[in-house]
Amino acid sequence: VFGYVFGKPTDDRENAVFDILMLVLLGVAFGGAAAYVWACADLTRLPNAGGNKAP
Amino acid sequence: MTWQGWLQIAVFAALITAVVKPLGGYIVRSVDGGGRVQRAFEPLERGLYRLAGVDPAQEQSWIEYALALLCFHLVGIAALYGLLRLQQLLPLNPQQMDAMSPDLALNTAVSFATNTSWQSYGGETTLSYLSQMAGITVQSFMSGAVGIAVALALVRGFARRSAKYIGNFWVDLTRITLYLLLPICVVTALIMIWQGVPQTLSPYVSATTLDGTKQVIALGPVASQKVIAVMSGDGGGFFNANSAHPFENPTALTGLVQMLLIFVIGVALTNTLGRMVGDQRHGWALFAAMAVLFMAGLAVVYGSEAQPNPAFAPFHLDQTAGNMEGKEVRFGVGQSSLFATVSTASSDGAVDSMHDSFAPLSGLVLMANMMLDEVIVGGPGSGLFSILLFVIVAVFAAGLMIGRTPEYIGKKIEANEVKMTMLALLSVPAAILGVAAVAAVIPAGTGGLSNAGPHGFSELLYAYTSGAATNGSAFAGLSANTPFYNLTLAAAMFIGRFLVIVPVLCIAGTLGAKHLVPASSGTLPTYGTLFVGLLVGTIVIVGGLTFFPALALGPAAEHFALQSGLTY
Repeated sequence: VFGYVFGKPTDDRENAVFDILMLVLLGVAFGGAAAYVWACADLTRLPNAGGNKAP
Repeated sequence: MTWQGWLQIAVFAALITAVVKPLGGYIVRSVDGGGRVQRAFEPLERGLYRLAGVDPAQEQSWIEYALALLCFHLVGIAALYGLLRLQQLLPLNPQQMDAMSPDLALNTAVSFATNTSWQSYGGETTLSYLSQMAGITVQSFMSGAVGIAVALALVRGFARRSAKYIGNFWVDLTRITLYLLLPICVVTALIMIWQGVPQTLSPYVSATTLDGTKQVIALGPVASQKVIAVMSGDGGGFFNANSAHPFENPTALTGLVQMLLIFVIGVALTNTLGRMVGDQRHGWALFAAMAVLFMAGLAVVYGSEAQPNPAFAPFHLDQTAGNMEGKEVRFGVGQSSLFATVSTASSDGAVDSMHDSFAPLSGLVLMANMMLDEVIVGGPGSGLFSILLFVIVAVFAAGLMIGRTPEYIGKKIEANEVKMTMLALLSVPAAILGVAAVAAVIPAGTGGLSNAGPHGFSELLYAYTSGAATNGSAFAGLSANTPFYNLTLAAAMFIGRFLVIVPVLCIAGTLGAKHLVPASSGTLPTYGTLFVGLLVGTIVIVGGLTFFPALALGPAAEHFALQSGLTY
């Protein structure tokens, strides 16, 4: 992406495909982390089944 | 071992202990407001909130807090990635550094945003001054502040009664940066400059040596980056050699200041916890547990490094100074052992010697320090919330022993807290062992190793341990600047940071909503020898059982091989 925008792709590893791939990976990672927040929230909304009732 | 070595350790320990209480109190005042510094800078703080559209009076639930944190890091990583990819087009690039490759840029951006500072590049040959200052240094401040903010949010969960909110992420981030990190950094950066650390935007200097060859001497804004790098738990080096470089660590005083900066906030936060929950004895108990684990590790490392290397015995070398391979002569074995133990016990990762050249037993301790999940002081904030996770396990186990619902500083520890604690504590081992196992069997992983056998496995295991534990130090010997290592290490760092922080914030939320339970005769005291012993035992057993097989295959096997004259 940066290579195309600024017209400076210099080698195979520095082209738009790799930039897009890296940003997609970043998006997937943070999307997963956000989903993890909701999963934790769900887990803690469950009742404390079998909780210890000892004094 | 020498008396000078032990004297250095004693001076360091005394200075660290002396700073716990005053700085712990200052942190409370910094975050809650009310101190003299805070009043002086209040207009600036209010201006920043107005600029960002933040209402400082509006607190957040744990979910809002976690999502704000994730959004902040998403933008931060994307911005740093863009900066590293575009640095050849941007100003403050006198050496005309080219763009980083995409996989290395992603690895570096994730590394510094997660407070890891794993570096698959050499700073002076890769980064422009703009990237060093606006990219690396800014992320050092932010990642350190985020760790402290999360720890304080968790402490609020313990301290508050029936509360829906755990604080405001943006307010915590701003206050920690303005009132805690910046003032200490300004003062210590001036000390560094006084001692000879460069702080300049001038280009590198070309010099002609005595034998007539040309040498390029790298310079740059080193002091301003170094102080926050060591204090934030980041530890990244301006130069490739990190704190072994004479411009990054020129004198004995700068070495001592760096080690103090690495530990200072982590230990002070134990006192901050004590003050916020109204029991400073508990803060001292956590400090004592950290001190026991730290001193035990340091004794093994210093003891091992003071011994001659058996592999050199046939060559009749003078090894009275101990194992000097990979160590700076001006630092010696004592200071190098102390620095390495401090750096790995914290989540810092700065180095002033080559960990790859340490004796296998020392390497085992350095790895174990990181594998224990940052509990021995750890990074700023991350050390505190990590040891609190083990506290929850310890009081839970103690509660099971007597058939009583566990309590900790007035809050009942129930299924929700234990579930989240397990999620957080298992994330790091899963990232380390899972990814290291894959790397150990596929050509993309084994192709990066410089050594065979147990030592090669140690290089690989150390790298993923360092990444997932957000330490960032390198064992060396691993060619890590490949797409495979850049991406898998980025994944390990991401998991080791965010998959721990989210459950920690969840615990803060669930605890904050609970009532306080008055202490009774059945309540486990959270201070004193019994509690410290229980906590240290829990950490050693849980951490040891998790990682013992991997350590046995690497440094432990290499130790016994070395004793029989076998090297790799």
